[in-house]
Amino acid sequence: MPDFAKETDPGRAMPLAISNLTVSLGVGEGRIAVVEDVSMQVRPGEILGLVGESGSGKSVTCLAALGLLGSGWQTDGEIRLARTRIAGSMSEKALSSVRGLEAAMVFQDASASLNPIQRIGKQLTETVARLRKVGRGEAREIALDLLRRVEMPDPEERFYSYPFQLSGGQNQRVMIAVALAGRPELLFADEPTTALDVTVQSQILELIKSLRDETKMGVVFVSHDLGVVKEVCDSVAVMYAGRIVEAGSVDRVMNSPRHPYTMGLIESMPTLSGHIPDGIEGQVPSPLNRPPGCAFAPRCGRARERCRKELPIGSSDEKQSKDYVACFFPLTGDLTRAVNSEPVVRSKVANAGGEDALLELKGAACDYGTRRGLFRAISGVTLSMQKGGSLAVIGESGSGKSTIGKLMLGIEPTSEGTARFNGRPVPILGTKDHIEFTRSVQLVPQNPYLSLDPRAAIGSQIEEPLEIHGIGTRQERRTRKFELLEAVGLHPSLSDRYPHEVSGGQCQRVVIARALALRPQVLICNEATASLDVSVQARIIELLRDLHGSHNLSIVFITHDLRLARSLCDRVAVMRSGQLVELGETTATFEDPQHPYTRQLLASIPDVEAEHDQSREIAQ
Amino acid sequence: MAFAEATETIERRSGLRTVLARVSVAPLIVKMAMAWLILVLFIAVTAHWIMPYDYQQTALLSRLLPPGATGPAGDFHILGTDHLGRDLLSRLFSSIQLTMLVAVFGTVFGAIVGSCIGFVAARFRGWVDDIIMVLVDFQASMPFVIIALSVIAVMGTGNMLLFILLVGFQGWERYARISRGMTLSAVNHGYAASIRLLGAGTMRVYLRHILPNILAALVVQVSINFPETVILETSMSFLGVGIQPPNTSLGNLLSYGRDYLLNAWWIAGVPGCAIFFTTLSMSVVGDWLRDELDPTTSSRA
Amino acid sequence: MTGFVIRKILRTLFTLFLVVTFVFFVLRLTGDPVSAMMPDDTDPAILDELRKQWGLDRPLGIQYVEYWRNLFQGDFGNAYRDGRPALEIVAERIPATLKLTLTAFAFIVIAGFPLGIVAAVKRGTAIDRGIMTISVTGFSLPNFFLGILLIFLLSVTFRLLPAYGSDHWYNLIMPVITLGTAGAAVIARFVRSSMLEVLNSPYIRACRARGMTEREIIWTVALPNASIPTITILGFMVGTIIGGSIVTETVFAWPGIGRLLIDAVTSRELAVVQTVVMMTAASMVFANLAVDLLYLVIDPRRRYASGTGEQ
Repeated sequence: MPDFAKETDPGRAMPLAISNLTVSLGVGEGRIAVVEDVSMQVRPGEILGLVGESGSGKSVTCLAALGLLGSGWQTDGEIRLARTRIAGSMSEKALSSVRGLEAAMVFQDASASLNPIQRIGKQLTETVARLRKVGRGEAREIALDLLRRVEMPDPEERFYSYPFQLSGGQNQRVMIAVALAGRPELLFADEPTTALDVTVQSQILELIKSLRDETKMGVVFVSHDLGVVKEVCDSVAVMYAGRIVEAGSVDRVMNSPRHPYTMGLIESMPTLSGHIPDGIEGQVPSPLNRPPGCAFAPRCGRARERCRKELPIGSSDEKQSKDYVACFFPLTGDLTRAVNSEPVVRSKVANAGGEDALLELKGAACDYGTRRGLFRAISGVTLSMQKGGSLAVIGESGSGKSTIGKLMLGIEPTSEGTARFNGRPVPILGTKDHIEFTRSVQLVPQNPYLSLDPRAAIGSQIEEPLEIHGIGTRQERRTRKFELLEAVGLHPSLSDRYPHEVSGGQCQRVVIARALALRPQVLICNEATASLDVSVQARIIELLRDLHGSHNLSIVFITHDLRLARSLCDRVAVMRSGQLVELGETTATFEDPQHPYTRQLLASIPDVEAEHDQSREIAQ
Repeated sequence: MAFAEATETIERRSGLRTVLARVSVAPLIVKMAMAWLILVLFIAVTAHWIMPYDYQQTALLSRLLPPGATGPAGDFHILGTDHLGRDLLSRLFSSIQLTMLVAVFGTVFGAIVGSCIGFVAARFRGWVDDIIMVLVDFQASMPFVIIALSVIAVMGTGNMLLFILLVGFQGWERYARISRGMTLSAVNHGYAASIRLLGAGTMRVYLRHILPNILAALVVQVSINFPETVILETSMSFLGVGIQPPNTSLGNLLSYGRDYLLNAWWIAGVPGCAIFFTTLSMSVVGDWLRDELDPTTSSRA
Repeated sequence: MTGFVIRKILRTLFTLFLVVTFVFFVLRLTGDPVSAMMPDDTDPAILDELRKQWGLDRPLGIQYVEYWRNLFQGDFGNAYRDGRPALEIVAERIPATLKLTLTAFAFIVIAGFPLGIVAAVKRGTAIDRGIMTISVTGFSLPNFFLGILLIFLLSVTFRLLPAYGSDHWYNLIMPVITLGTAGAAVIARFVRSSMLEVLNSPYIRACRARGMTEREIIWTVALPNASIPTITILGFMVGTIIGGSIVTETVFAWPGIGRLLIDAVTSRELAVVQTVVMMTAASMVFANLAVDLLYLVIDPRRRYASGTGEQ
């Protein structure tokens, strides 16, 4: 059935053309513009990357294009799909006859985007039957075929699965199959791989590219990850505070970015070559208080008086063109970053193991009790860290990397082998010895909001460890509190705020400050930056690096992100299915990985620096 | 959506002034409900000083007087009189007093006992938790009024203290569930776990961090439980197995009125409306309170 | 899955065991049933005689075992006033109560669901506010007051329906409204919030994105998903209805178990009280079991996940 091989006709309509789109929330005086004056086009077969931090308006733009924003939102400007002009006044009924046929959408959280109580085959069949106006039997055949097209393993069997029985990657395949059901001219992919493990992520990206080649549909690929964008996209539009600040071909934008914000984003990306990210100070302004001039000016090192007063917008001709920058003082020249620069040597790496290890696991195994019996999370793990060292523990979800952290913190006892700190066994949480142990080893967990008491002021939470351990007088603790706030780069006035009043990055700094209060020797960071935006992520890494250097602090950095691991740590341990597969010096491991799994991991990471000489066959 | 975070309003909770500020922007219906509840509480406290007549004093010549009527002895009755010529307003005040007494003490008692049970279950886990949860399930699977009736059948009517405790006990299992569930979730994956890793003992975690955090949920449960307690007490009094004469609750008043619907509707109507307005006000205020205290909804525009 | 079902059934039996034990201890430990039943001035010799006759002078453990044996033989004790078996007295009241409670249950579902759905779909409009106002009013109205109000309006003022009686279908109208209104209000509210939660979920947005119409989404996706949690509330309703039927039957002089229970409590017919308590508990416990099993049927997530355990 030649479903996909739609005849390539050169006169095909533009799948998406947006001009001067403004999207606002609310009515009258209180109206807040979330997206302002956005224009963009997508040609058949083109993948356009829409990039920006959270709050930049990229998702809202996509939802507006499908009329999915719902009541309370208002759109002005023009949105054209292949055959239909989307207008704010369109009825739900008219919109629903367009959706899925002219443009379809896949979302970040695929598992939550499928009806949880219906088998995926049925959902797919119904969508096919409705969009292609075919009978049940034929629809079922097409549905099965679609599952094969998205390379679903065992499609006949999976056809009868419920979404909760499939993995995140498999559900994303189903969502893509559903999106293809109406043979749309345009696909909106809203962070489709963000929630997935790296190896799965690269498979899905490959799938999107090959389907694009096959169907010649246009794709709008929303992402905050420039590495991913560089790998899949043909052109890029960078959004900041509701506006497109730069657009152009992916090569041009990535190699010679002209807007300082684009530059900042690229600089924030940790790379496989060990580049240490700089990050961008500050955060995206909320739509409620965007500055009058260039929205990026407050965070921009190049900003001058004019930037704060006038809005840099190109002429409308310029905006329609595919190469565009909204900046009075754009950067020029190629990105000069030495691709193979020497990694910064941060500390001498002594031989592993031995008596002088600060923190050490020897043949460690850990079992969790479940209803079905014992479940072995890790087994036979031997690794160690010297005083003042930094160790990255890398692995995908379920690899047992977090369990290593738990053993080191005494949250779980070892079932076999030993966990030692300073030559003595790690005491278990709840025992008397553990209280003393907490003064030496501290945790920085993944989600800072979850680890702070929502109903206590930030300052009092930073002081709390001192109070618990009875250190200092009230006055001394107060002084120490402000020292700590300063050490993690927070303004003292934040002391009286509550966690929900500060940003994610600030919150993570608070957690780090609290962990540092007891002057620990080791900080164990469990995916400490995973819930943060890239630019914020980079600044937290920088903070950790500074602390590592200045406080003689040892760091265990548990992560799924190899790039972060490289930019921070001397040594790296790679975990897979509860086993340690590779352990070594970071530079050596990354340049010459020994284990096939490590090689696979490295290969599946989209890298902003990787040469993309692979053929981008946009066969027109 | 990202926008929700962006527009999140900064709110601070501190002091009476904020509470008053919140109340002042509450919808009219909520303010009216609050006014009614304050009036009822005022009557409950001052009933003995403000009632125009002795609520037990009968006057056979002034029987079944309609509201606003004056009896043969020149006695004026705003709400009329009952079948024994007793002043209905005085009886209403006295009944409100007793009903509120039972409801307030009962609710407080049930809330404290239930929450403590939940805390204990969450603190000790293991077999203590198992036993408590079996009891909670058992309670949840029995209409409370049946249990109350079987206790009354054995102990007999007329013991006021027993009755208050019994009525208050209603809903203990929900307090227990809430305090247990919220404590467990806090202990297992939230801030409590990270505070333990700072070296804090369990008592500190429970009293300094968990209790303040689940207090809002318990307050909301009180607001749900309170009208139910009022209804349980008045139902049982109405059925003749609750408050016994000469004491009188709103339920008793209503049950006398049932026999005079034909010629003296006010005897049933007045206490009925009093109960209805009280439970309705409590529901309205409770809904409002729930929205105010719930951090996930309070920041929404 | 079978393991789950067996666990649930075992749990049900265990709860029943607890009920019986609870009743036994409440009746035997909190007071002396003989002196409780007989007038205060009864000759102590007669009391002793009665105690002996009922086996109350024996050790508690033996009494407890004896109690169980009697229950298994269908012996729930005799009413002391006329000496008839308590089970028989209760059994003859069952049909009237079933008629009332089942109709009320149907009323709750038939009135509650559509109101909740309409309110959710028309959220924020006057219709939604109207339905929610009715709902709040509905469950704030104590059912004894609602019953009296209905009698006053329909029987006394407009003379449309007789206040008492249970022989004709129209006799059911007022008791069923009295008994079901609060439940219907709760269901409407719950269905509304459940629908709203589902309508805000990512998969509804995804359904819209693939071109499903609003009507299709509401009926084929939102309603099935929103109905699942409602089953739990329907389970609770069984208890509410049983509890409420006591008052309702008293108000309308309905010859059912509820009124029997009140009469038995006031005249301290402990055998009858215990029989009613046990039967109520049994029906509640089985209703809960039915809810659990119903979940397995309609919610695939439970069906497949139940092997590993808890909800």
